[in-house]
Amino acid sequence: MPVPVGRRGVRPRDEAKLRGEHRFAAMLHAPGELHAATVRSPVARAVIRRVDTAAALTVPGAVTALTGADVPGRRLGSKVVDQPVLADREVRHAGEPVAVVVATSPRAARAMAAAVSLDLDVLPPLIDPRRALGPGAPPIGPAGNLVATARTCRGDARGRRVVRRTWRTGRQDAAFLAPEAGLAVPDPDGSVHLWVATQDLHADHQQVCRALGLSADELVLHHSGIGGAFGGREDITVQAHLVLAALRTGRPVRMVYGRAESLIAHPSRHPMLAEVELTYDDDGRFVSLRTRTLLDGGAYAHTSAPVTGIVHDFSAGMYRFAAVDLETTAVYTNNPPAGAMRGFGATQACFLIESTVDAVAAELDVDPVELRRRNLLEPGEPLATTGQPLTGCADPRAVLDAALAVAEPAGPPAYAARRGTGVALGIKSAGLGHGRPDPATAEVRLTPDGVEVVSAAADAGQGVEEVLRRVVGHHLPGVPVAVRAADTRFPTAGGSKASRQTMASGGAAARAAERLAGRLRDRARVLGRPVPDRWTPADLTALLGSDAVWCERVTLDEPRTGPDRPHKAFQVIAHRAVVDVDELTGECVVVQLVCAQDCGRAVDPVGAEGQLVGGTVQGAGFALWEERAVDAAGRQLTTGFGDYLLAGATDVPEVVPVIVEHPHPELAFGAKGIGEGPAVSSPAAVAAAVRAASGDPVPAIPLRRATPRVPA
Amino acid sequence: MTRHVFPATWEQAGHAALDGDAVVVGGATSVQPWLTSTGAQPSVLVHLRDVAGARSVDGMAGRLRIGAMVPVADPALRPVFGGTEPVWFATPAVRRRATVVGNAVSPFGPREVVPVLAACGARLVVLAEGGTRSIDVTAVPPNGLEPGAVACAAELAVPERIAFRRVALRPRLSRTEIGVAAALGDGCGAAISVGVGGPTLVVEGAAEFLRDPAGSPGFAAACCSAAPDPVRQLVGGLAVRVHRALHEPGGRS
Repeated sequence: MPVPVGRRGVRPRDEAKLRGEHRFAAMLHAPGELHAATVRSPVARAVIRRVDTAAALTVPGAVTALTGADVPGRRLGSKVVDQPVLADREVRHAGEPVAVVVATSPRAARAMAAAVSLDLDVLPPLIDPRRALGPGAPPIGPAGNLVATARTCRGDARGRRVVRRTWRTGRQDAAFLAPEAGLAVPDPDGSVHLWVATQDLHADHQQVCRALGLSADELVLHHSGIGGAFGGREDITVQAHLVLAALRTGRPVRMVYGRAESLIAHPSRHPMLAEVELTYDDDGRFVSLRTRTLLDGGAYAHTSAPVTGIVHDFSAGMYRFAAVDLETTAVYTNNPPAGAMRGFGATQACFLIESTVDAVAAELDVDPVELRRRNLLEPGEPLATTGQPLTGCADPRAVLDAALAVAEPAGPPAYAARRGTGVALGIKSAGLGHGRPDPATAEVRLTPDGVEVVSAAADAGQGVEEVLRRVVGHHLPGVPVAVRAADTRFPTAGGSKASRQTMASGGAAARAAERLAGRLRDRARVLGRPVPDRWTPADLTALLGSDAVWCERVTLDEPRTGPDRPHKAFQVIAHRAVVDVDELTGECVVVQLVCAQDCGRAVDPVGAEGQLVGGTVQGAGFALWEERAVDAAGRQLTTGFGDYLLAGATDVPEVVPVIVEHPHPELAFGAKGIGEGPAVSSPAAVAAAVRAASGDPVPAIPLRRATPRVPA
Repeated sequence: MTRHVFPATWEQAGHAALDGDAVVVGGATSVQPWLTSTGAQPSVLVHLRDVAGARSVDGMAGRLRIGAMVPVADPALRPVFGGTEPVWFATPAVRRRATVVGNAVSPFGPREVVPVLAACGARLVVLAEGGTRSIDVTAVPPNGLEPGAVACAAELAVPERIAFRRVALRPRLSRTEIGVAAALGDGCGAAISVGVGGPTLVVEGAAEFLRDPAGSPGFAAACCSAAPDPVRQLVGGLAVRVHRALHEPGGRS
């Protein structure tokens, strides 16, 4: 029986994971399966003269080798269709897939991959995004190096005083714990069934069908268990290669990336370079904001265009400006591609604006919290960039107060360390926004034995399955609720991205359940039976009668967005970070993090707190340690968790989640998506704490360590 | 095809290790990732897990003999790590499997325990084609012992007190970038390590400063003189902390 909405409880799915019964993608097998491995470019930019697979095909166990010549001109891409299934004619980044080999064992596949010979004319890569739009830059994209740009210019006021800063953020990885994997199985009817860990079955289906020239019914995608996503599974990795291999061989083919391959195979967070000018008056009132923000999109477009939009929309934070002049641009380079990652640009924007606000506070020698209060928008006031009123969410002051109300850690700093406290306020949209279609379909099937909720929503660990159980259970109290993961033969739930599934699939399922409950009540009245507070199997048998199964399918795309309302709902977050910085070594030790977030309504409070804690830690990692290092030739140096330094429990010993509930009037239960918010403002808060402790300006993250104050 | 050998005696282990490109396996926490990530297929893997005595820690006359299969987390080793488990070494799961001796000779990753062992004057008992020999724990070449050699044990002094301070990006899990270890007791001294996977250097003449509660400046100077220029001051600063930790065990350092 589902736990009631808003009450603490254990998620059944979590128990399966703890027992080792959850079937992650890497655990899937099929009789007679083959094994695929990817051959990747060792250089960032080259013309492909030849891909020689002859030696690979002599490896014992070799079955076939696929190259760009097998899929010439076929392109993938969720937003811009620019990414070849396998590189043909040219390679645009180190690590780009050039060939896929298939063998009877994983070892043989690896041996085949090692035996593939690449004849490349290596070209000088474009690595510095600042050169991308300048004269003489080699064209990387299909029509130059501009992926997307956004510009907002409003008002011409200027304050008496000014701060100018340049901020940089790094190449954070989603670093989900279960690397990419999948299993493609040819069906006797000629179709291929693909089980894969993805955030969006239908988007993958559409891309793979288009790229491989398949009709929609020739490919069926199924969810496997997903071991985290954080945006990193929003783009295609193994999908097209597996389907292609299964079609070529006529046999099941599986592929499992190792950690090193995973770290190069999916897009990272966009590195950002931002020049910011904020003018203000002597009393600390902000007047104008000017930004010139450059995002390194890497070799392919992926989601750079919408990320550009989010960076742009939230670059002014929740502050009041009489004038803004904002320009945000994403460019192609020969670096590893950047794309979706938790926060989707709002994280970079938050670091940009919140760090600048702290710089103003330092200039004025005023309390950064007080300065924020002085300049925050009031509820209902328009955001400086989009003009959309700040509605449907808590007053940011209330969220800030909630974070500050948590007791600071007791005890002194570590020996020879200085302690600093930093705060940051974050805002991000929930839902796709800007008028983009954002539908989710859910079906609720009622029988005397219980309710089944059918949805293609990906549960990447964020807990949408539990949300579906609870919202349906709310409308049909007493009825057992099971959730069934649908495949692509069922309508889309949209992706598990943009913090949208609680609103979208949760909303659709709630509406379907509400309709069923209404039908039950109507039938009861017709039959002259009482309507109980909790339904029993006997009630249901009596009411459903010979129908046996009642079904409601709802497709929801509400509230709509458009030019006047770019975003469906807002995630409003406040972080406070306490960090000790060792004066001798510059080592940074996170002592405490507080994350307060307006969740609208926490349908599953334990799950919501998990999101707040997890996202906050991920943000702290971004501020201090996490980065995919790329050398001057565009080759990624990071190969695993020995050098990609994920923040773990021992690094962030105390994280305090504070749920603020300000129900959104247009959303089911008032519940907003919350998944990205915690990763939006924690990096800025940690950076602020380091500044406070060390006096370092921290112009770039990840910081790794503060400047040591080595004694003479 | 890799052959797995599980010798029961050191003699059998030594014999098996002479086979082609044999690789000796202790806790396997370095060997296993190496095999997985590189696809290497050595002709023989010589597993030490069943060798008689390989799991024992023997103490006598203020010294310890640590068998090759004794894990880092073994409670009997606590005196070597200052009375506690070395939480700066990997994860709890790895500490339960990774062996002290294996880490000291591993060619696959940073030898994190070596500064501490060196401060205790540790020597390794190595079985090779020419017989058994004893080598200083800091004398193992970067690429490990010579082919065919097996490290059977480490022998070291039990310190009266020991302190280790290091620089790493994260307090735990991250690899040591610079480390200073010092121990009080017969046969003990100090050592520094510089660079991830870099050498461990014994600090000459440290003992007299370590005994002296006021010997911090001298100890720091001795450590600095052993350190390369770019990190000399940082090593000196860590040395002061180590000295303080030795003489104010309950204090903050």
